[in-house]
Amino acid sequence: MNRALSTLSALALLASTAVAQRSLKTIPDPDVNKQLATFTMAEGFEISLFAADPMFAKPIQMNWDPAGRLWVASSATYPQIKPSQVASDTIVVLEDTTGDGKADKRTVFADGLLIPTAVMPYKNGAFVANATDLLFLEDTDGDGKADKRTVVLSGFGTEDTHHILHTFRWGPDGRLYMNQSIYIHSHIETPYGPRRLGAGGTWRFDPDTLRLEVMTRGLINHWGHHFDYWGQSFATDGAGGEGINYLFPGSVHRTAKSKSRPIKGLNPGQPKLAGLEILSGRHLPEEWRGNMIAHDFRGHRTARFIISEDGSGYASRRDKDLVSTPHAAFRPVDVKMGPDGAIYIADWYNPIIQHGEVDFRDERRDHTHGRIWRVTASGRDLVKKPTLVGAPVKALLESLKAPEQWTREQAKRVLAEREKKSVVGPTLVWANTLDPKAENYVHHLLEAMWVLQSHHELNAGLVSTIQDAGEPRALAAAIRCVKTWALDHPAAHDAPWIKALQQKGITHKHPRVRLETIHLLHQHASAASIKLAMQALDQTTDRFIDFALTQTLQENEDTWLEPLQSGQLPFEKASHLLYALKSSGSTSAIGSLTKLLDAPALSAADRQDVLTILAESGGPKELNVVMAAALENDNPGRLALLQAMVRASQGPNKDIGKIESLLNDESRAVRQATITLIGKWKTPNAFDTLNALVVNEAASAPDKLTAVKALGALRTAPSKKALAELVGNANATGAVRMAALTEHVRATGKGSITLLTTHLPSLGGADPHELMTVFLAHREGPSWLQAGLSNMTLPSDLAAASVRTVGSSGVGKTGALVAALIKAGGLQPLPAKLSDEEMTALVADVATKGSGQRGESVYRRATLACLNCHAIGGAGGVVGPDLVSIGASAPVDYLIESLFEPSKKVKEGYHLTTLLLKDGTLLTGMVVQKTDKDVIIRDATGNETTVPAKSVKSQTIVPTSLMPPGLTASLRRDEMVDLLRFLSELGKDGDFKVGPTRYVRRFRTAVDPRAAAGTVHKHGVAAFAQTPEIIDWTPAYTRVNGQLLTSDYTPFSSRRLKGHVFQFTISVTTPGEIGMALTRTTGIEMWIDGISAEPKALTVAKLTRGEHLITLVVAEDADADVLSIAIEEIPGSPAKAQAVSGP
Amino acid sequence: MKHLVITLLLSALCIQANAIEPFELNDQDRIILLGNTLIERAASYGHFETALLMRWPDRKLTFRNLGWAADNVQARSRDYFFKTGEGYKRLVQQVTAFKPTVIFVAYGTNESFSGEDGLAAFNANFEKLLADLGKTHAQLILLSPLKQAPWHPAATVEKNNQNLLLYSDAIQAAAKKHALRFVNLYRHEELSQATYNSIHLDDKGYSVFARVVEEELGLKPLVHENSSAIRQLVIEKNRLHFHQWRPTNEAYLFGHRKHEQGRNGKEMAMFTPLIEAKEKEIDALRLAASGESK
Repeated sequence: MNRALSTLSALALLASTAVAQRSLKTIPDPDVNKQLATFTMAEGFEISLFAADPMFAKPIQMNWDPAGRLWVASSATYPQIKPSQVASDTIVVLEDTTGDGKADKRTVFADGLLIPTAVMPYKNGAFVANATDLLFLEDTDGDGKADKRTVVLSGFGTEDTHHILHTFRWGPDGRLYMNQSIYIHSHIETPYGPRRLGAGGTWRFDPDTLRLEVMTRGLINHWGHHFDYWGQSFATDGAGGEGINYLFPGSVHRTAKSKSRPIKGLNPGQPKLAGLEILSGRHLPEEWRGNMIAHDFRGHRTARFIISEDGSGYASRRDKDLVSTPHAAFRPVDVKMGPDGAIYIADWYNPIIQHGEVDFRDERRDHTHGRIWRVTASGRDLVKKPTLVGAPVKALLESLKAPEQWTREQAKRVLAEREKKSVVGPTLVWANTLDPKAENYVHHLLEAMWVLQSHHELNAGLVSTIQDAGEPRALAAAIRCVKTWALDHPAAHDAPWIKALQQKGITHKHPRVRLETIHLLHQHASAASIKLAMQALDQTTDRFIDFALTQTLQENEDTWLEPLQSGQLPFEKASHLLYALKSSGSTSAIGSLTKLLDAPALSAADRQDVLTILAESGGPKELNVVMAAALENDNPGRLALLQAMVRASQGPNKDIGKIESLLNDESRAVRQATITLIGKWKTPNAFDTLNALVVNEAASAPDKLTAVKALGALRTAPSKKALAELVGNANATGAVRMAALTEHVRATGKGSITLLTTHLPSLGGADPHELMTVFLAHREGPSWLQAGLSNMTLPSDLAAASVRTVGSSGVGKTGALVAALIKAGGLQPLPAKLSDEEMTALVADVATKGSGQRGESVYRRATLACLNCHAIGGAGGVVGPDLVSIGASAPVDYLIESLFEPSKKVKEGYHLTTLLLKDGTLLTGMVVQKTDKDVIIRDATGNETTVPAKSVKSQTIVPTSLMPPGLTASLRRDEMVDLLRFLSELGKDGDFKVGPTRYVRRFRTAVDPRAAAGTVHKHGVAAFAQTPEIIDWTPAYTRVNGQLLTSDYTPFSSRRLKGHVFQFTISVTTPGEIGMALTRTTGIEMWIDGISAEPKALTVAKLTRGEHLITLVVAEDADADVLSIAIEEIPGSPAKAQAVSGP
Repeated sequence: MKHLVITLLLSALCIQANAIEPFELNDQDRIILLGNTLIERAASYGHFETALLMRWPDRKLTFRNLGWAADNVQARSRDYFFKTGEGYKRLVQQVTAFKPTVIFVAYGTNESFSGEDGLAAFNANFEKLLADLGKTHAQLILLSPLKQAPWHPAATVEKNNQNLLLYSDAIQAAAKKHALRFVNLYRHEELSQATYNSIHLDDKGYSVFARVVEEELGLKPLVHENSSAIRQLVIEKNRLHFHQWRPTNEAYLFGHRKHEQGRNGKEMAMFTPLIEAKEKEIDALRLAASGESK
């Protein structure tokens, strides 16, 4: 590990620590009025100062108490206490006693704290997150200062101080919700036993009973969490980039260990966010109510999201910002609505975001400033601050009808902290005397239920009234209440009225009710409750229901798998069983599946599923059945079955040669799967067939490469000989020869070195990535290759590409190999050191001479391959972080270091892991998903490999970046300056900011128009839309401004088509009419799912749930080479859709 | 004075106490307190450490608290990012590096939630821990878990206590097997009553804890009139030590983000002279205080 690092350091430019200070001169004037003057507000809003330093410094979290005072947690010690320093961070209470919108009273409630990252008023004091502890600080004598300190919980991890316990929120249920971030490992003793969470997640804490549970796991830095009107949870992520996330009990999100794919956010490709508030109340204009706002703290703005119902979950789309500024020190981190109906924004005020890659002791780390801004709607009345403290119970209950969430939340707090017997009876009376015809009646019932819940009471009558009231969102909340209550009263799960509720819930017409019912059934899983939960499959499912059901099945396998193995059908329907088997991945019930295949009622889709499971998990007997099905004429699922058989560990044992009949299939993918299977199964004619194919002039290049691999898989003496001949075959392409060499090495290891030394020097222009990977995967591999390289001269491009693969592999002890490659290629190592003066000059040139437009072209250059790994706004690869707002968050010196020496700055969540397998193989990459069964690891080319967990011997995190060093060595200095300028503009106000317009950013286009021309000739242009699988496609991404430049791509120039073909995919989660806004309609032909459509400036299509393929044939037009398409909502249509992003 | 009365009363009740040979700390003894939350939080109150320091004011005694919240005998809480077992290795290494002569070992609370099913594994893992700690040749003193006080019905205290007793007995059996001192905290109802959340002690609770442990060790409780200033220094010393051995930002200082901030890891060594200076202050003060009370 250390060796690998030192290798990189030797290769790459070393930036001195002095560099870190270089951007100091860009630090803005901290004058409040100067900062105020820089804000741009959404129309109809204004901003003013509520409070600023020196009243407090560095606000991290703020929360109101029922009296309307604002409690602020602030830390000057962050990020790390100095050895001689005494922890002296504070909790400050701010008050506006005159009602003029400015804080005029400030009390230091507590000091001597160590990095308090959250504060929540409670009773006569506040809960405070204080490093390892959750404290309750009390003011017992009423002087406004804490005089008693109780450790409520301890054992929270502090491995990374921007991850420690944060984001306190009261739930409507009277529980305190708390978040921790990705690198935290918490171990906490409670009266209910120890609780452990070694990942990001949300804790749910009952301050009365001290019950602590993990509500959700995953996310990276979810610095925002809130409950909507109906009690559902939403979170933002300061490092996640998927906008608003929908959370529910047991939900698992990105980065946590999960048996199934974690749940994605609602706005993929959006900037990272901190804080979350849901707007409500009479002060705000109607169209803003129910919206969510959160801070793009890197981009110095507060973003607006419009949330709508979408199946069991939600859809979210970004709208224009509420606040934005070019002021580099505006770092909004928290946002809360206030008692007056205005919006309050905590500004951590810092020119740099102080993430861990900046030195803890860097002078630019501001430790003294901080602001709280107040945003109001111009010309609208403020809300009268309600009097809640000391109010009679009846008045407090009436406050629960307020349109302002602030008032309802605080009234519930006051009621929760009152004596139980003074609250419970009156609440029931209040609920029972509400007017059923009154507006929001059901919601008032729900509020009453929450008040009871905060006193640990559940009233069956109230739940039943809510159930009958016909508001599914209230019923969903009521079921959640029942779940919470039953956790403390396990016998309740079997109470007849709760069983009846479960029965009704799982068959309810609203998907969210079904989702909540699954959560309830999961909590007390038994054979009966799982059988019941599966009824959710009888209606439409979506990703949230799918996750919850799958998780329920996986975590309770014993309840259904054991009966199944003893011959019983544990579910009501065959389709339920199939779903269960698919989600479990268990192979022990394969026998029962083959029988299922004979069931007359089996649908075509279910039959395909059965066959796929049989293919992946079955033995030879089952695979015979699958192969026969794959050979059926016109089987639409043929490709999927072939690919499943490619993944399978075994093969069929009857008539395997028959598979060769698919060798001439029209579909490239079918052909290639067939070729692979021929090698894998070693069919009787395998050698002759494959050997003929690799030299067949007429075969396509990808087919040939697949055949070379298949030949390698045969591992026979003739196959090795044929590979060796192919390596030396002057008529073969460089790619084929390189592939043959790679497979020869894979098959013979050290025995290939002579072949390699003879032929590698003549393979310039071919990509050596796979070859290097084969050497790296073997313990001795690097030393074999290194020995072979002595006295060899390699083409410099080949040597450079090899160095890139080896250098970013994370494999240890490769220093000598890298040196040998450099020597063989006659490469110049990168400049050993950029002097301080050179660095200063480079930073200055970026600001004065660089062009973002030119830089974007550099970024998009195929030879640099930036886009292969880094998306911008979701368009591009997923190997590295999305760079959507990198410019707004990172100083230029940081960008320079990242480009020259990638391993110095590795973004959290992107660290490399090396797996040592039991067979000695080494695999290095990013762990994408980890379960008890297997690990999925993604390498530098974006390929994902699934490794069974039991074959992993050891696993180490290596501090190496997947980004190869020296990528930019081929750039001229002016190009480098342009590239840096482009990166530094990303996310800042201007041309390179991903805005709220929902552009389709990721397309695909034909990889080789000349090769595809034959297809067009034969089938006409409609073939692209109707049989896309017979074309080889390559990704095409728009520029940051959403424009696709057609001239970036090679056009067709055949008789039938002069121009381009582009395709994109839309994923629809709620069906209905979807709009696509096209900037150009002339010279365009359009197909939606293979059906011709007329392109209009706003094309409206009625789409079903699922993915839809849109094809555009764009005639060449020198005057119009720009095209952009945006997804639009159609007024009155419930439809929810988004363009599919990614690599 | 009130304390003294209660203490005398208690020692009269505990007939067994008289039968135990009184425990003694010698000059230059190096004492480690090892265990779960019970031990970790003792550092913030300092009663037990202060009591022993004051009992032998002229002997050089060095205490290090290596307690970790919710820990178990496999050192599960100390694993950080690493696979199970890494935390244990570190525990053994840290204990060994300190060259202890006495180790107080307090485990079993968290393990007890596995009930009877987990007992065999606990015994095996505890044996391993004792063997590894034994390699330091330090005297080991085994503490039982506390009995849980009544709490919310959902916490199933009665069942928990059956299990806690089971594990307490297992620890006692281990002590007997290896001829080690055993401190039975479980049987002291007054400790259970001194909890504020049914399982943990606060400031007052830890003063009861100090007295109970001393008594279980065959020591007659002493009253130290001038101990509060010393206890304050002990707490400060423990806080410095905590910042050193359990620093925030572990991931950057020593973990997989070391390449980013590892250079600041050197700051950890800078805590050592600060800790030693506190210890000097403590020693000077306890000598002076003992002079005064004589």
